[in-house]
Amino acid sequence: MNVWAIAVNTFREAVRDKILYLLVVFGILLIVVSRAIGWISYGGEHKIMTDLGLFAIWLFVALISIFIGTQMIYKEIDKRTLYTILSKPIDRWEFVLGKYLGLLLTTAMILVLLSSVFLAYLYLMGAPLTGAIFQALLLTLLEMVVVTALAIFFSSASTPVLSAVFTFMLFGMGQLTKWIVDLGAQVQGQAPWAKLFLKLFYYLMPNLHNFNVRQEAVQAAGRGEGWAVSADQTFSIAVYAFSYAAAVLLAAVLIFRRRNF
Amino acid sequence: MEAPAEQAADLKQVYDAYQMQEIRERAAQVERMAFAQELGDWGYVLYFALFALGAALLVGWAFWPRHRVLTLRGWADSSALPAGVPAFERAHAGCAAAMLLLVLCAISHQRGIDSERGFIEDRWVRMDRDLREAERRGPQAVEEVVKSHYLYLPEGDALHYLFLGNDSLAADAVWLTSLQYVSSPFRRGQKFEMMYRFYETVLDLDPRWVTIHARAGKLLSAIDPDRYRAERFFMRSIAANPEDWVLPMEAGRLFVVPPERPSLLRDYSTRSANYFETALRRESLPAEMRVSLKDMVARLRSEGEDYDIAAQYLWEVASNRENPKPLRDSASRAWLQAESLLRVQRVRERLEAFRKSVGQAPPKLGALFDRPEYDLADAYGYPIALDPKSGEPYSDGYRCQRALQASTVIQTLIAIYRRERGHFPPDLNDLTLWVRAYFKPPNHATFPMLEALGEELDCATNPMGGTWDYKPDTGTIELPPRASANRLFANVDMALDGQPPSFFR
Repeated sequence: MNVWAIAVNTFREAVRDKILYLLVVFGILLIVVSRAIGWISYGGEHKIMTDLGLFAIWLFVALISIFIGTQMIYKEIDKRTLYTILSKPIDRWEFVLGKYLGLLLTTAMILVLLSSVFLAYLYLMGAPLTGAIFQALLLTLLEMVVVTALAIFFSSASTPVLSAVFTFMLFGMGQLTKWIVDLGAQVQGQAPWAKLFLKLFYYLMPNLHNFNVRQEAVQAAGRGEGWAVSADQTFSIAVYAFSYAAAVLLAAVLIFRRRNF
Repeated sequence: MEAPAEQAADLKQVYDAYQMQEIRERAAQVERMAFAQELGDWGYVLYFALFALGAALLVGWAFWPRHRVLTLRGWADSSALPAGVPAFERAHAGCAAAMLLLVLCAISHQRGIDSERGFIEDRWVRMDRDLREAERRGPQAVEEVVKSHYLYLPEGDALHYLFLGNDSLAADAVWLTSLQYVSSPFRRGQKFEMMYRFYETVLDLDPRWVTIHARAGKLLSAIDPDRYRAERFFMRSIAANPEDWVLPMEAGRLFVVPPERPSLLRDYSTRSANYFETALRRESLPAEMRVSLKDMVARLRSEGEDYDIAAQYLWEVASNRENPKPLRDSASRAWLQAESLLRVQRVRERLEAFRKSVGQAPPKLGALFDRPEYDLADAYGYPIALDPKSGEPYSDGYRCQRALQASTVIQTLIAIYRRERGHFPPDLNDLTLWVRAYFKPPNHATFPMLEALGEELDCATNPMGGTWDYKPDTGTIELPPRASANRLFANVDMALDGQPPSFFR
């Protein structure tokens, strides 16, 4: 009950943030402009539109998660409202979880809004619309489950600027974690332990490339196929997202419990 | 005729000269446009007007009486001014003057920076300037200057990281960038390697973007007349898309247009047929395209001298009653040709084997076969005999068909000759000389002409042997009855129904 109350309050506060509207406007602008970029192409106009639209939604929703999430807890501390909240019979884990769910709700709402604009635009422009596109959007939402958790984690431990930097770094590295495994294979000859270490590092990092099925979705939509990846794989990805986010949130709770204000 | 290597070298020089000239013209055009713009540019008038205003304000500020303000009704004392009356003080004038002059200073410096670095259009001016300097140092220096104006294109792997794993978007960006270079005069005649690199990067990033790979292959073939170079790209893209039919289809189309040199025809036809057969094997190929594609493969195999495969396919197309009649008729005539040539090939093989084993030719060709009335008859029903000059077997029916085809072409040429000269050619040797002179570049001989008359465009030689029966009064060629279409194709249905293709035996 407390968690839900905090979540709703966080949601209400987040939707009043001006950054949100700015990012939403730019996201919609990029979706609309994708048609113009398709015009200068010799072939593949719908594919370019779909690529750019999915990319815009992914990027702007991630930016919203990061910008709002990394200052969420710090703002409460700075405004001293945290003391009021924690003086009530609310556990710290409830506070962290409430904040997380509120931000996730905000992110989901923005994603639904941008997706509606995107899908309507695709429909009007005659681009192919199949289940694969919806699947890509769903996986983007699952990616934000993890990214939001990371943002809350760093927000509970550090200042907004550092939190944003660390979250961005992990967000970027998370897209390229396959490189870590490749690197391990390349240096194995010189340092055999490096491969094991890098593999461990790979499993500890958030592998956000798992959620990137945009290319498969666009190709599947172009062929008129319904799905980008199989249902089994989608389920595995969802389980990975929730497991990883839960672990990160637990770490955030542990840090938050030990903090003195 | 010039050898292709010399032709290519000449073309390259022309393109080099054209490119330099075009860059210079473009640079001059940009300079003219800029100069004309500056002359009529009201921005200059406005600039100096604002400068004058700023200077006037500055002077005014310097001489502005203290404790005096300027209102709409004139000068007033600041202490005696009622509240709410708009008034301009000395500080306002100073601020306005400073802001105006500082902004104008920034604008003038910006123009200086722009004139040095230039806008996108100015790159032609810069390139022209760099090329003129490099020309003094030699062709190597010119090549270095041209290369330095390349946009640096990272490898596909690097772009994967730069775009944070959004390979599809990175492929879009590279494709869109490549289009700017295709249409520009930049390195015209020399841009194949550059465009190949772009398209290879797109292929690395998004191997399944079949539509674009097909277009890229077409663009490469348009940039460079050497089709083997464009084929390399198609081979890579086909390997990356093992279920797709579009790419092998486009690769086949690359070689389906006959080459300028007829000696390359066999290789072109074989390659084209190989690719089309690859497309035929793809399950995704639409059913309605299979029959026509099979027919095309058959004809290409025939051009490539793979007569057994050609005969098989053509027989399948011609004998299938579900196919449209025009297609069956066309396939049946092509089958007659392919089947006849196949039989001649088998006779030649048997003859060579005999010559090798015995050391001489047989007294009669019929002695080599158990059923000479069948084995020494071509698909038209005409005899297969030995050419007295070459000693090689030939199909009389095939020669008659070629004569029929050649006579049609020669009649057309006679009509053109008459239109040009006002009379019929006195003989076919004269016609031959005229055709050779007339069909030189830029008037190239068409492929049907080359196929009918040979590379030498010889109108005088009759494929049936000897010379044509030419009537100079009427400008017509008379063919013997056995070379008439009615006679040649009279037995085609019977041949298709009653006589299966040779390999079924």
